[in-house]
Amino acid sequence: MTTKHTGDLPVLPFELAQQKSWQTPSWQQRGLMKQQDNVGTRLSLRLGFFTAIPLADGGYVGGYLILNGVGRPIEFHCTTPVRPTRAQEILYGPTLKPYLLGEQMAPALIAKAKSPAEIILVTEWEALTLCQVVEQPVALVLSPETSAAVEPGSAQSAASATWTHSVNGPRSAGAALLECGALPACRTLQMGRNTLLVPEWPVERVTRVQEYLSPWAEAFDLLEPFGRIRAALEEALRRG
Amino acid sequence: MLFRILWRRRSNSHAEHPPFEATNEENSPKTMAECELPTPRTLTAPAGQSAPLDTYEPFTLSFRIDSYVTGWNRGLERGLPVETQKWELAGPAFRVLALNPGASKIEVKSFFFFSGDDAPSSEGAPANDNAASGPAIESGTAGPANAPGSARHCATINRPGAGHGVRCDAAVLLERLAAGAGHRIHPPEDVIKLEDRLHYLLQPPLEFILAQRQLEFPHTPFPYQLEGVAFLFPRHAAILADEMGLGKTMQAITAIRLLLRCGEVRRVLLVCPKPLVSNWRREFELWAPEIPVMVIEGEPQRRRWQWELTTVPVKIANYELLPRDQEFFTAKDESGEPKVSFDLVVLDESQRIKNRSGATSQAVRAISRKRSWALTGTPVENSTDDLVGIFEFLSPGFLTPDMKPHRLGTTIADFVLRRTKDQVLTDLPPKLFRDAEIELTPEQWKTYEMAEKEGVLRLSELGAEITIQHVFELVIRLKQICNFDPVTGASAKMERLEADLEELADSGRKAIIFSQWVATLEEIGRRLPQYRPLYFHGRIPPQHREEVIRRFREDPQHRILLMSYGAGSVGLNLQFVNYVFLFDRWWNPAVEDQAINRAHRIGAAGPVIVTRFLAVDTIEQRINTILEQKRALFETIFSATAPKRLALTQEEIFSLFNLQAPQTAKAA
Repeated sequence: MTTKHTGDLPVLPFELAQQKSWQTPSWQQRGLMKQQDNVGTRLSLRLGFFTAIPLADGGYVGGYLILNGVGRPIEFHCTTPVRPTRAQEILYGPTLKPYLLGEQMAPALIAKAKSPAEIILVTEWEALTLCQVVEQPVALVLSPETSAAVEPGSAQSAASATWTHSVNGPRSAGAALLECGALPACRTLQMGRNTLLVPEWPVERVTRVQEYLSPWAEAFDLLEPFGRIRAALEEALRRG
Repeated sequence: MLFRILWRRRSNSHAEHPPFEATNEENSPKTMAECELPTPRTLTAPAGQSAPLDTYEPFTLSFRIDSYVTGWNRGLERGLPVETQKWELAGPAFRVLALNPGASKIEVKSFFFFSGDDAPSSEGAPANDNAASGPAIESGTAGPANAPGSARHCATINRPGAGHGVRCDAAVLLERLAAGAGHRIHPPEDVIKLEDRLHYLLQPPLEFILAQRQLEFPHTPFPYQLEGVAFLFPRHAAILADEMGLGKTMQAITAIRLLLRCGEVRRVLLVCPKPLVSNWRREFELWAPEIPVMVIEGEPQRRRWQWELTTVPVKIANYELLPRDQEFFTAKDESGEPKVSFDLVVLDESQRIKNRSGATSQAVRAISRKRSWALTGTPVENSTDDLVGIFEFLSPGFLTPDMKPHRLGTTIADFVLRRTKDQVLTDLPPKLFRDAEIELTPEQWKTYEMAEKEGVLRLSELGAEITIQHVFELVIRLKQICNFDPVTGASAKMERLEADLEELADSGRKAIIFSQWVATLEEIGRRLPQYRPLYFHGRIPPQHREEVIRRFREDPQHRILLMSYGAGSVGLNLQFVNYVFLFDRWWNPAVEDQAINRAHRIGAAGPVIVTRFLAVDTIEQRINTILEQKRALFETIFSATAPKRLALTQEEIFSLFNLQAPQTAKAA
């Protein structure tokens, strides 16, 4: 677990990635469309998706899925059920979920990855605290309902709107975390049909992330992989 | 009277103290309540200290004063009696509670999957037998046919040109995904390992894959077709039992294509009835243009070589060939391993192997394979035994003939996918049935009544010697008379057919006419030369049949196609036809449905009108009554996945003539 660099941005792995040439031999090449849509480049992409599902008796189980640029799973890591202690419930109060998801579970899962993701996407606002403990850019994929409520490109007001709208936590928790710096000030980023909430990065990083995500985000629903994670977590829980 | 005001902490105020009493000169007691006390005071802590604030309240210390009149001085010298009371002012000792939130102990389970990114391009490498693998069409793995020689050496290998080059409509697919209507590959129940199950669950929906526009498709698959592909893909044993016309061929080919492209299978054998071989080859060209296909045919020596060739991903063989070629595909090498083995064997029209003791069934089961799929629109034609026969190929021993229908249904639930047109094709043009009840001509009646009387009399005379074959012969004789009077050639059905066709001719429509006898078809053809009839029945050589269909489809002068149920009931696409005539009726409603569905299928230009000729008050009507009851029963039974007998039972056949079935007679 490393601390986020704030001033001097680390070079992200994908920013160094070389575009691989892609050749499909023999009969496999027939039947493919002529424009390969930079498949080789997309294959080298690594996107991380983290989410957690609540357990009936309290606590959470978290999953971290790494996909390549054509949506195929590379790695999947999941936690055993994590139940907060009574002391944690008392001391963290409404910030318990951000603590568990963003500071405990997600970092533990990400640490296990062999193919580091260049960008990590989350779907619970509480998990955005992750951006304080990992180097990779962390972005929140907004649900269509939330997206409709926030003003595109808006800054902190969007974040506030998200806290209110993200429904999983009371506004005071998000606001408190925002005020104390545990959550970053954010702005929305529209990419195709997806609306992301990203920290207030420097422009060049935003541009790089946009370029990186564009093969995916312009066409596909970035919320879809979270459904896969939930299905996998439920299956893992069923099978013990 | 003397008052003294003392102060005490409020925290001790609960301690009792005696009531204050004072005595004055008149000895009249005056209680403390009557005395005015100062108000409570709050003491603040010194600056810079954070001690808790204490509140003090006044109380009185009372003591009695006794005065003696005997002398002031003496009285003043006496000590005063003082009552005291002790209060504990110190509180209990502080206790410190330490709350250490600590970090949650988090255990992580990790799963790593084959990505396909850096897959080696090795020819002849074994397929991913055990590892579940998703449809990674981006995979760089080379297929087994990555051998130019194989294509050069075999003229029957399908070498499509540029393909049809139509992409799936990504927008449509993505809309389906956004609406939550994507189709995922769910692991079947027999996949046990959690890692394999998760790998299936973590694959992207099929719409996601197709929307990436890397594969050519003639058109965007329907959602239920993708459901079928997702059903087949992960299964080692499966029956796709969709109703005719829903595209089982396309679903199977697409699933095969995805499996080949992700390297999970490398050698596929497709077995179908001989007349459908060319149809399958054409469908492969349409739906998987990049996949080389070889048809196994020709001289024995050539077929042996074809069986043993390992570099062709898809081979097509016909059922009739298998018993003859069994020695080729069951041969063993020096190490005792079969020389010929397949990763996947697909049986089209798999009802062909319902008879477990048949040579075809035994030959099919002898093929070395890892996956087994069966395609059929009629998984149960006659009885539950049909299903048991198919499962002997899919998973030997999984079903037994003595299983109760209900248990059978629940047992096979995870292996069978069946959809009907009503369920999935809500926008398919309707199929309208028109029962034409025909009254026989007087000449036909005369012949019919005479034949029936004589026949029944003869059957009665047979007594215990009667067999089902005797009854069949009479039924066939009577049905043929209902078509044409063998003496005079009179035919009420023919008159009705001619009248209907005249109407059709005016509208430029085409029609298919079904009969179970070639002789009947030829007689109809002789009487309808103006419609330039074409024939499609068992006597037409297989190599000519495709040309017949092409001419019927493309030449407007050919208005009618005369088909036998046997030859025309499976695997043909005739959706440009709007009218179907059943000149006589087949024994089994499932076969009739198959015949009708040649025209009523995806791509049908409009409603399909099915006219069923029925000679009233004849054997045809009696058979029809029983079949209608069975048809209704089938719908009920199969919805509960508990099939029963559908064809006529021996009792039913004998009952057509009010005869008692003997114990030894066999079912139809």
